[in-house]
Amino acid sequence: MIHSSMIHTAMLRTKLLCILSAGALLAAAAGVARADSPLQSGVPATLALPANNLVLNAYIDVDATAKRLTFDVCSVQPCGGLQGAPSSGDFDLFVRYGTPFPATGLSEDIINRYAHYHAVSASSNETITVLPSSRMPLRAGRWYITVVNASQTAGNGTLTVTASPATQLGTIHVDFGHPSTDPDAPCDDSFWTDTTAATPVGGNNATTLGAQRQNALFHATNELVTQLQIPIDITVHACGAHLGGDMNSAILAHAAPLTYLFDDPQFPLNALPKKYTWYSITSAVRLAGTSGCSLGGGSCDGVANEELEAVFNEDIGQPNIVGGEKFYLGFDPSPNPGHSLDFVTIAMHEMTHGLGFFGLVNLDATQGPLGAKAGISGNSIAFSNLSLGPYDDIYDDYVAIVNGSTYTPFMGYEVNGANDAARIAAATSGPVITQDGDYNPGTQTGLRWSGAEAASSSVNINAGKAAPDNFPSLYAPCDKITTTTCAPEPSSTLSHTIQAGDMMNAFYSGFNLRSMGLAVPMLAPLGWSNASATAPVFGQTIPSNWFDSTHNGHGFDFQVVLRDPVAGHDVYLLTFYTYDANGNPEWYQAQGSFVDGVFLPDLQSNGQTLYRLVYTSSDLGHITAHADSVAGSVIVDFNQAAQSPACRNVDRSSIALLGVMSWSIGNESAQWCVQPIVQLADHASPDLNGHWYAPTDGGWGFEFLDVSNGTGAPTVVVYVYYPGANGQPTWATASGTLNVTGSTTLNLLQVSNGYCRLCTPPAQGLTGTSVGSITLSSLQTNLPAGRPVGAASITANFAGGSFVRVNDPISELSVPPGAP
Amino acid sequence: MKNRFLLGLVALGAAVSANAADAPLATQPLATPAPAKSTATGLRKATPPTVSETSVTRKPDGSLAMNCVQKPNPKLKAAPAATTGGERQP
Repeated sequence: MIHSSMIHTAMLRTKLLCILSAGALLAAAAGVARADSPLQSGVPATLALPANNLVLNAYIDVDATAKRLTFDVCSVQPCGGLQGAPSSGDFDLFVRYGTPFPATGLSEDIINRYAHYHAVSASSNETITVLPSSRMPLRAGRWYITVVNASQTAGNGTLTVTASPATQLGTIHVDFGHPSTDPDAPCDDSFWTDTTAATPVGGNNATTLGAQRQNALFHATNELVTQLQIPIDITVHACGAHLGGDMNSAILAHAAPLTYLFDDPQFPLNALPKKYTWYSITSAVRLAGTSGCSLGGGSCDGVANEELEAVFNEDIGQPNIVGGEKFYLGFDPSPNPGHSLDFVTIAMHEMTHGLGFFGLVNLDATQGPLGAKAGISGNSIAFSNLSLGPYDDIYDDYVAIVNGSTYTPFMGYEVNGANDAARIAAATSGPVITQDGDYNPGTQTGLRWSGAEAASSSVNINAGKAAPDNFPSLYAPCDKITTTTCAPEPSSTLSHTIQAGDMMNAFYSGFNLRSMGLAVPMLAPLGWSNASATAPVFGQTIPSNWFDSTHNGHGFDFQVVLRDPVAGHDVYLLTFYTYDANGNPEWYQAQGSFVDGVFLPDLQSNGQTLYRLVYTSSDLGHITAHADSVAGSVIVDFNQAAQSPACRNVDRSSIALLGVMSWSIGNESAQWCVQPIVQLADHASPDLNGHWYAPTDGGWGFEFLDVSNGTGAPTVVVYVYYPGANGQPTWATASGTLNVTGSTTLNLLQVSNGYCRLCTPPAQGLTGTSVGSITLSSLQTNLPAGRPVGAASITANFAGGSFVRVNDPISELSVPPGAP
Repeated sequence: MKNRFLLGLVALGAAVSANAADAPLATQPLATPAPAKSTATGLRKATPPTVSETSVTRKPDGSLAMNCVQKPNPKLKAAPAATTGGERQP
């Protein structure tokens, strides 16, 4: 094929190096020796990293007794201590199980894509904790570590990996500092330092009001850690604020995770089980085993190192606020017989929301379509005018719509908000309320929690019943306070339980609460389970021609060119056939590995992963080309593609194999949902499908689609890539009936009304214009050693010239389907 | 040829595995410099649109009722949730 090298299988990458000298293009070959360094558990290894350098594939072998594996990089000695000053540098930490990071052509972005875990804050101290419950679960085997110094200055430090046979609880740290005077989001730390004398109460023995408040909040966080058995650290920003009130009502507290985020090909979060799905930062931190700033990058200073914010009304207790009622600050609720304003209960309830007990589906008509999933508009979560999305959220992924004995997912696959109305119907399926404060606890609703942990939990009063009767109901009143028809109550619906006495009821006064109740099993599938996880099953692909049905006429040829047992990955060649801004056919290429369900292209020496060749000669046997200056990149992710918005713009529910192609060329970028044109089962026999080239005339080639017609002659479709006018890379197609044993001449057509990558397809469809012909002959298959061969003649005319070959020897470049 | 290639790799791997324990781990340069951290991440994240808020109301019988509701996130009022990172090329 074009691609250059026209070489042979196992030596492909090495051969491509030869092309490098001609085209200065391709990345260094795989197979360069790795200076892997073994590490011993608990023994620090020294890091002395020049700017923009890395330590690649240090590793530790872990046995089956390990229950906790912690990776620490630090530049302050002793690690985690306060002695000494941090060195300069910006160390980032990446961890991968089983197979190593590639040896060459590494950018930090590519390393991150290989990593199962990352910690990439702006500091030089990074920690990752891997547990049996993590997405890539802790298990026996080899764990590889790569440390990158991403700064422009050198840095020194240590790398320590510790395998522990014991489980360990983490800590919810509480930051009582970092006040803010922003009038819209104030945070007053004096709430926690109030020196007013206080009498010890309910086990809280502090003698000042501020200290009692701190203790009460610590007690609440400790309850959460203990009941959820939280094994990692989380940080809460605790604030006071003058939230006011009057004699009859007042705000007590509010809380939320500081951010929501999702895994997307633009920036992978491989520690999260579900792609294209919103997670609270708290859940994400639990799953990723690192802090929020290390997970998302950026500063870890101050509140940037925190995941949850809880704000308490410091006006509570004033005589003019609810009659001067005060927070009860005791640990033991029994001395507070009315259970009024129980600080610990309120803090636990609100912080449980902050741990991710929170659905994002829109229930407020002023915010956008009712029932809509959450996307992004501008830089904010929104429900209309979306620039990205919409996306499922992990909480709502475990909600079911129950009708009698049947149930359907609250989220799930759908096109353009098709299930918005069904979601709202479920969200208003509970008892009618006609005035604020109406509450009918215990009445089952059609909005239920389907997570298995909660359905079978001993705290679920319906456990033991058949599904869906054992699904805990969620708060879903039919709100008729202001309307005569059912409306969702936007304020409490969906994110609260209705089981009487449960902490996560929307109305929870009068309860003697220290138990999280249903929240423990309900939070489990959101990332808080400590049960051992099974190893992830990654997406699969097949060598084929892939296309997006909403961008018909564009597509890519995707073929295995090397099975690389050393790296453990197949190497693929991707040829993206497309059209330029003027609709002229053009093509780009990438070469890379298929890793964990993702095509990860090699970084080329020009810094790009998707490149476009421009020909400087098309002479027989001496085709030369170089990459042009257009910046390009491509990733094809075959994991959970159906959850991507790109795959939900038209109904693809019946398509078994989907991928998300994320590409950028120049200043254009998009995500396309791709599917194979031909399934492996439809290949003809003998199977000639693959990428073909001219071994002695490297620089042109074609994709060969060879489709079975039962007992009849197979149908052949070829996509031919060759040098066009002015050395521009162009392509044309041909199709017909294949004469396997004889000669097949096909009319070569070029699309005359191509459309640019971000343009709308022409309404009348694509039109082909004849530009010549291609003849395939002397095809020989099933060679005992080597690839199918044959001969090709081609005449492809273009303005000002033509590309002509006569009986050029050809061979299949790619690994034939099914071949080892 | 392929086998010879692989054998070479194995031999090289064995040779480099005996690093001194206290010597700094071997380093090599990135193929491309790491981007500045402030713009490096293309992470998709955003501030939540709402917070959960518990309020208290005195009922006609004099008792107190607590109710948790979702309210617009005050942080979004304070400033747009400029939290999606800059673009990073895939």
